Amino acid sequence: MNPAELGPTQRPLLKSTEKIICIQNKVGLYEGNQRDEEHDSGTVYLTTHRLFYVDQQLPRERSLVLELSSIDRCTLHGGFLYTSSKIHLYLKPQSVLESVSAGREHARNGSGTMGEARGIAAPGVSRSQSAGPSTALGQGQQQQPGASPRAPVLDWKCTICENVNKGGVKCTLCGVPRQNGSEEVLDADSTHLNALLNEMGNNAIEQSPIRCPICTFDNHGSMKTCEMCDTELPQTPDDTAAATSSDATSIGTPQYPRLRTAEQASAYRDASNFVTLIKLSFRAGGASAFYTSLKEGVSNSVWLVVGNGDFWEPDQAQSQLQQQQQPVTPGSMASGRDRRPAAGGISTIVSAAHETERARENTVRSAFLDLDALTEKANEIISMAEHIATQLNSPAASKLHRTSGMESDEDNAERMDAFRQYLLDLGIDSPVTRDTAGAVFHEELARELCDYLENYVSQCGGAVALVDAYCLYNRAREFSLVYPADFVQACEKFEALQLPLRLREYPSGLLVLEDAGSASDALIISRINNYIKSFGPVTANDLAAIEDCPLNLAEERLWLCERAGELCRDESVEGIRFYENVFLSVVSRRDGSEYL
Amino acid sequence: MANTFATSAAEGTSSAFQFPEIYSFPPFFSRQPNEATWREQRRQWCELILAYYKHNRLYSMSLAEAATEPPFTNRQIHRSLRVDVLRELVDELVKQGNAVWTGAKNTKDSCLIFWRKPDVWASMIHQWASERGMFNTVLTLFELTNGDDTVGQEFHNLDPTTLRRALDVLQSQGKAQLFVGTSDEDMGVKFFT
Repeated sequence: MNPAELGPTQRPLLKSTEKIICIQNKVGLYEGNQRDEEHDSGTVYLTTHRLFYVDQQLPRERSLVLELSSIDRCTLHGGFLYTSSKIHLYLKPQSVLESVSAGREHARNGSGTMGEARGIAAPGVSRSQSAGPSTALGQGQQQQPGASPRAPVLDWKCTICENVNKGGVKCTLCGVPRQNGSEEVLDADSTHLNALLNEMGNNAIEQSPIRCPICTFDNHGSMKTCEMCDTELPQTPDDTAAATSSDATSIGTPQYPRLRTAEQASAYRDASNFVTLIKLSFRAGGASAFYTSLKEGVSNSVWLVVGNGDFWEPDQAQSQLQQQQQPVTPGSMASGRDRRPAAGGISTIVSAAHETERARENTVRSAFLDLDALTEKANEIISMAEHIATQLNSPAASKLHRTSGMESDEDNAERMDAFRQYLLDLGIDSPVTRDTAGAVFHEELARELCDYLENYVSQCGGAVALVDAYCLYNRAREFSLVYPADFVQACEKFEALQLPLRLREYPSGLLVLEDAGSASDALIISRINNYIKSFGPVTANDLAAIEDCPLNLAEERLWLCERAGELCRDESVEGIRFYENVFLSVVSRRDGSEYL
Repeated sequence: MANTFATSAAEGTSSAFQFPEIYSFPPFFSRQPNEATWREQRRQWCELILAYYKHNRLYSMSLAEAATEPPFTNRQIHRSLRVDVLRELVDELVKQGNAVWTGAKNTKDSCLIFWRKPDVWASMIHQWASERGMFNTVLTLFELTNGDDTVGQEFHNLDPTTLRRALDVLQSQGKAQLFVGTSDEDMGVKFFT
């Protein structure tokens, strides 16, 4: 597994067509049968393409990602006594993966540049760019053997079932935690073990038995003391030589840097020393649901469908176009396509533009026919919106509009801004739902909310009424809407999750989402004080206009200042107007002069 | 900047009352919800009331009427104090001993403002009596406030209720004795050393 890229809210960064299918918290990883202490508790995200592990304590440092394409098969093992239910992931051997990745690389290039670079993408190149298979757990360790030194792995015997375990804190057989009294079977450190294992592997046949000088028992060549009488055995000269040479080889080419036993190496690592079995331990349940989704995800092989949803890649667009256009005017269309390479020049560009436009029109028309169609076409509509938005952003577009008319320029820009806003408001690609997130639903919802609303909140001066945020967010979700209660609960988790937004309840009961950085009381007070200094006394209406915020929020802010003793009110038939608090400032001035 | 306003209600007095600067500050006429601000506002109002009543030699206040008049209404800035706020202010004055509720019980419709506390009046009257050698002489209360002998004295034209309070103080100190006449108006008093 490779280190994973996380977004600002510590959710995994997804690719454009990737969708989260299932989320489960409190999951630990096992490498082979060995519990991985560094990845012992975290949240696992299953997406259509990948499997993410986000560590709970150190999400930045310890999070991992595994491509689903590298999973050969997976099995579910139910919990027993103290053992939690586990999912075993059997990874494909590396050679298979390389060919797969090469194939994918080919397919990508084929879609992108019409196959010109087809031969260039060697598997090795893609590997070094980390775009390829991401199973180099063992390899990563080899590259930096000293980076994460591990305590020597000791074998111990379970006091309950007498199973000999290879390190770890729980018995792998019965799941009972290791007790202090557990007998340590082997106390050799790992390098010594390595030497031993190499000897066993390479020199076993050559080693001659060592006869004990006391009791004359023929001991095995690797023994240090006599098995019968415990007398120290004399070291044969070739034995020490073998040991040092194997030490040397193990330093030069560290073959089993994290090896515990020979059996384990043979069982869970393939020939090129990659981990082939990873276990996910579900300490908070949810294993079976996760397993179902995972199996579905692996068998669906979404990653093989190239360019799914990348509607506006030129090649893709054309093929779509062809499909849609054929029933309308098959003859003219086909001839148009045939003619194109010969024609060239401006007319080709113009006709291409026309075709693209027609294709869009068709998509829009069919998408809005009924709700099902919209659901089906949602992805296309979203990608179209994004496409138009980027086009509007491009300098060429703005130049075009500048030349079209100077006087309407500002007006245009304004309209375009609004339009862009509408487009961006469309679409959260893979919304968090109760089904996908389960127990961590509110946490995940909070993270997604933060991702989505952070920009909007800062645009609105650092605070948005919760009701507005709710409407906006649900509009972006299109379908699979969120309940208001869930929404509020998710917002209440912002602080615990250390996200950049806060939910704040004003004494009147008004709920507001605020930017944690820019909406402190002191900042609000100083801002309003400045307004009053420059504009004179203000009403809530004035403040709402100045700050461009909802009226009730403006009111709350003024009351906040009043409670802090910074403002005082003037109630009249015209409404409540707020002034600088002369009463208290006079007092403080007087107190100050008394002390002088 | 000296924002002072002459008041029309101060007619008949020698000079116009000098209102403090805060009098032209509109929030001064709204009851401030902030406790600290309100305490300060109340203190300034109490000061203003006592100063205004002293300057105009006013003694009693009918709250409903007073609220529409200066100092509780500022016509320049079109603001006036609400009666319930005024009642709160008088409550505060009563607590300080500078006012007392009069009229029917618990109605809090009218009050006396003691811009000088009764014991201060008492010592002032006793001082005058000793200067004029009025000890052991019976004087009517009318004589005391409206007689020729007291012209020019601070307590000339003193409100009868306030006078009674002052004399009560003297009586409790053993410096005076009140005599009941045929009616309340006809009371007499005798001063002792």
